[in-house]
Parts: sequence; structure tokens; C-alpha cells
Amino acid sequence: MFYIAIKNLFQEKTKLLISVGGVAFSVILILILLGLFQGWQRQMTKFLGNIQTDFWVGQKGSRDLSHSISILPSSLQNQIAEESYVDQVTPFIGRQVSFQMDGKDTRFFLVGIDNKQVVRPYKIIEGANFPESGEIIVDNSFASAKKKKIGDIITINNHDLEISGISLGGNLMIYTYALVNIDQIRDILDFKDLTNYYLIRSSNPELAKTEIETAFPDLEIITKQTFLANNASIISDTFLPIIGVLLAIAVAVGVAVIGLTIFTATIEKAREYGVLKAIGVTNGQLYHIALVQSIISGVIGFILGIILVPIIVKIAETFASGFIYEAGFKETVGVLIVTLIMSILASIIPLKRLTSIDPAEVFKS
Amino acid sequence: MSMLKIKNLTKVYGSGHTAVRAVENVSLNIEEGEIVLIMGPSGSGKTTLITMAGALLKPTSGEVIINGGRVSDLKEKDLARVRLNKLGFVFQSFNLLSSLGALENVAVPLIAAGVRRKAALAQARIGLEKLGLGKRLGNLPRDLSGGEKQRVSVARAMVNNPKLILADEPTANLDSKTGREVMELLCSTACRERRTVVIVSHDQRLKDIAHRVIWFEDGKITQEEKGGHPKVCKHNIIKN
Repeated sequence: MFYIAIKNLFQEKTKLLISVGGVAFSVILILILLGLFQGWQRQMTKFLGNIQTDFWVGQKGSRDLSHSISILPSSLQNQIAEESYVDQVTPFIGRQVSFQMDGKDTRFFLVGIDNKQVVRPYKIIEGANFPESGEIIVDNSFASAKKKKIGDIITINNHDLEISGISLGGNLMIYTYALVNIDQIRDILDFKDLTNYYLIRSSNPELAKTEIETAFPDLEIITKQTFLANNASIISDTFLPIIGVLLAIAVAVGVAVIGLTIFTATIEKAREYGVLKAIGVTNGQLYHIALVQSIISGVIGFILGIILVPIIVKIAETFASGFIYEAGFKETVGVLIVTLIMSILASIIPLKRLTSIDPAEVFKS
Repeated sequence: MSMLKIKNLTKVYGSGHTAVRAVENVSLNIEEGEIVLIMGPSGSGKTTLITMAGALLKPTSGEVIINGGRVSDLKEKDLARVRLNKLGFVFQSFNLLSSLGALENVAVPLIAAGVRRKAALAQARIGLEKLGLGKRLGNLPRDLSGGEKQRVSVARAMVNNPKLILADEPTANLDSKTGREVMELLCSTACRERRTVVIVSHDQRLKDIAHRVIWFEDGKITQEEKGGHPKVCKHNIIKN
């Protein structure tokens, strides 16, 4: 019955095109949503993951850079450094800042870089990799969106900062990281004797953690991996339910398009299916025809979708700086499985119609 | 040996005041290798009779026995198996699958019966060549003439080697010459291969190719007469 399915499918080219187009649309939507989700999650931790620390020490209750504010006294740096398993303590100062640029409200997550480069840009693509006094490193997505280049001046809290470097990996969709040196950020934020976090290096992080926890019970000590996961969870907590709904819609669209196309084809070919039943073809064999048609439509649509996704991503990236797409083999295989499930579900739609065809009808001219 | 036995067969459509008795208490016995023509006016119930004989419609009462096996009480799945293995159908409007070429159309019953595609196509080719369609194997139904379509339909009806072939108004959509040619081809092939053929038709000219002509009216057999088959068919095995 396989060849009947194939011949029927390719006989109706317009219907096939609609069906394939519908699946391709679903595949594109699903893959892009997964790719964006993955891209955003990874993007959230790119810059932070590049910071050379074993754990973060913050104010009790702090967990990430977005949900909580940690403010600690500068004097704590020396006290923590006295602990025997602590090799290095580096202050981390970073905060969202709003300012006017070209007559518009603009935001950065401004971070201070120390000269030991414990905190450093993810990747410099142009200019300096350390901002001297009066300089700032901005993210490439910010520079592209705001049409800024090396040498341009940005004014934050009455401090004129010249763009000295452009980096990658600092785009968090709602804002971007911008880097100045640690003395500069103290001036800008008026953080003379304060810091947000301390970054701890140790040759024995476990012991150092226990030591600090014992000596400073009012501090929150978070391992690097936990801190990264906490920051990434902003994406999963905020966007996962929304993405889930959109994925369900995409799957429903795919099922509906294939199912209705196969259903319409079944109605149009009801007489021919009746002939097959009169000849002795069983309902199971007829369902096999619908299933094969559905799966082939799904697979062609999947292939078309996979071909179109990189083109769409390329175009989207030029228009939207927050369009950070990262989908690989695993996601592609996942979408293929979803497509096959969509096809199987769609083939059930014409099942009732197929079984209700009366073979005796073929004797009516 | 009886190939098709119909015992007290009745079919009633609807119920109560609107009940229509399409076939009423009909009994009939058709022998192996016999060619029987059932004639009658429109609405006489002959298509209902052949539909029940073809295991496509359940009778209200009575029995249909095909090649010794009672089919009137079988479930749909078993009826499908009977139709596939024991019966061949030739329809008035050919009923070929529009997306398949002649060869593939003929191969359908074989593939449905589980024969591998290559073997099915080879067997279908032999059937079509026998009916003079060896050069039209790949043609879609839309590219075939009416006579050619009906010959493809005949080849499809015979490809599974059924013992019983049921033809419903097989010449109705053909001109008289083509209709006669196709039916002669069907009957001589069936006769040679000792198959039973039951034809339902208005076409009086088909009386010549049948062994027996049964007249049907108001759901009942009203008359029976001998056909002219023994005179025209050199393969004839049944004497009138």
C-alpha cells in the first residue's frame, strides 16, 4: 500500500505543498524557540562564566545579579583574605545603571574590572581589553544597535567615558554588560567603601568555603556553578512557560495542517478508498496509506524547515540584537521526533472517515 | 460444483411505512465456469443482489454461499478477505485509482494480499498483456480510452485468480462495439480459465456471451432463459 500512498500524495501537489509548508512552519517555530531559549540561557552565563573565581561571597540571601542586591563593606576583603585556605579575594562591583544617550533612556549592567583581570571581558573583538580611567568597553550588540564605535563618548552619572573596546558575550537581551575599571565604577556608583560581592580563589575551595561559612555566618557563599545556574534560571523561570505554550501552539498548527490536508484528500478520494475496500483492502491497510502520507509530508516539511532555519536566523540576527540562537544536533533530533509524533497524530484525524466509507457505494455510478 | 449459491435472500431498506424491499426471497445457484447475465429495468434490485453476492452488503435475511463458504454472517474483516481472495469486480465506471498507472492499478489486489511489489507488477503485466494492453502499462487512467480502462478493470478483477467475477453494468459507459469487445474478452478469458462470471446489465446484446440469462423485476426473478455463449465461445465447457 506504500506506493499508493506515495502516488496519491504526489498527485495532489498543491495539497502536498500546503501540508509541507505547514509542517515547515511548525518546525521553524519549534526549532527557533528552542534555539532562542538555549541561546539566551547560555548567553546569561557567558560573561559570568568567564570570571576567574571558585565561589561568590555576597550578602545573606543574595543569589544572582538580577533578583537580589548584595552590598558588603570593603573592609571585609582583608578579613576574608586572612582565612588560611583563601588564596585571593577580589571585589566585584556591578549594577544596572540608567542614563541618557542621544536623547533616549539607555541601560547598562556596569561592571568594574580589576587590573588582575579576575573579572574580564568574554571576548574582545575590537580595541583594548582593559579600560583605563575614563574608558569603557561595550558589548558588540550595544555598539551595533546604538551605532557606537571606538572613540565615541558615553556619559554616565556625569562621567564621560570613551569607548576603548568592543566585546562579545555580554548581551542579556534586556541590557548588556559594559566594563569600566574598578576605580572608575566606584566613582560612578559612589561605592567608595562598598562592594557587591567578593570573588574567592582557593587551591582547596571546599575547605575555604567551610572556613568562610564558619567565620562569617552572615554571608552567603555560592559556588561558581550555582551562581551561574541561578543567573541562567532567570531565563528558564521567566520564559520556559511562555515557550512551552508557543511550542504547544506550533505542534497543534503542524498536526492541524497535516491532518486537515490528509483529511481533505481522504474525502476527495473517498470513492477510490471505497474501491479499495470493495477489492478487499482492510481498514488497517487504508490507515497505513494515511499514515505514510502523513509521515512523508512531515519529513519533507521537517527537511524544508531545517534548511530555512539558518536563513531566517541570519536575517533575524541583523534586525534584533537579542536574537541569540543556539540549537545543535540534539535539538534537531528532538524536533524530528516531534515532527513524527505530529504526523502520527495527524493521521488519526481521517481515520473515522476511512473506516466509515461504505464499499458498496462503488456500485453506484 | 456450485460457485455462488443464494438462498431465500431478502434485502429491506428502511423500516415501517418507508420500508423498501429491494430484493425479496431470491434463490439462485450458479455453477463453476458459468457466465450468467442478470437483466432487468432500473430499480429492479439487481445491483442490490450483486452487492450482496459480492460480500459488500449484508442481507436482511437469507444466505450467500461462495464456493462452499457462507459469507452472509461474516464480520467486515473476514468479508474483506473473501472479496480479496475469492472475488473480482468489474464496475460500470471502471473505478481505477487515478494516481496509478494501468500496471499499478492491476497490481493493487495482489499487493493488498501481501505479494511483494515486484512480483505483483510482473503478474499484473501478464494480465494486461493477455488483454492486449501491453503497450499501455504506464498510462494513467486519464490517458486511457473507455475500452482500455474497462480492460484494465477486467485485468484487475482477474489478477488474484478469483473463482467468481461480478460485473455491474460493465458496458454502460462504453460504445456498443467497444462494450461488446471488452465483454467478449472477459468472457472468453473467464471461460478458458474456468471462472464464474455474473453480469448485471441492461445491454440485451450481452445475452450472446452468457450461458444463462436471468430476468429480474421488483426484487424477484421473473424469468430465466438460455444465452448464446456455447455458440460464440470456442472455450465453452458448459453445455446449455
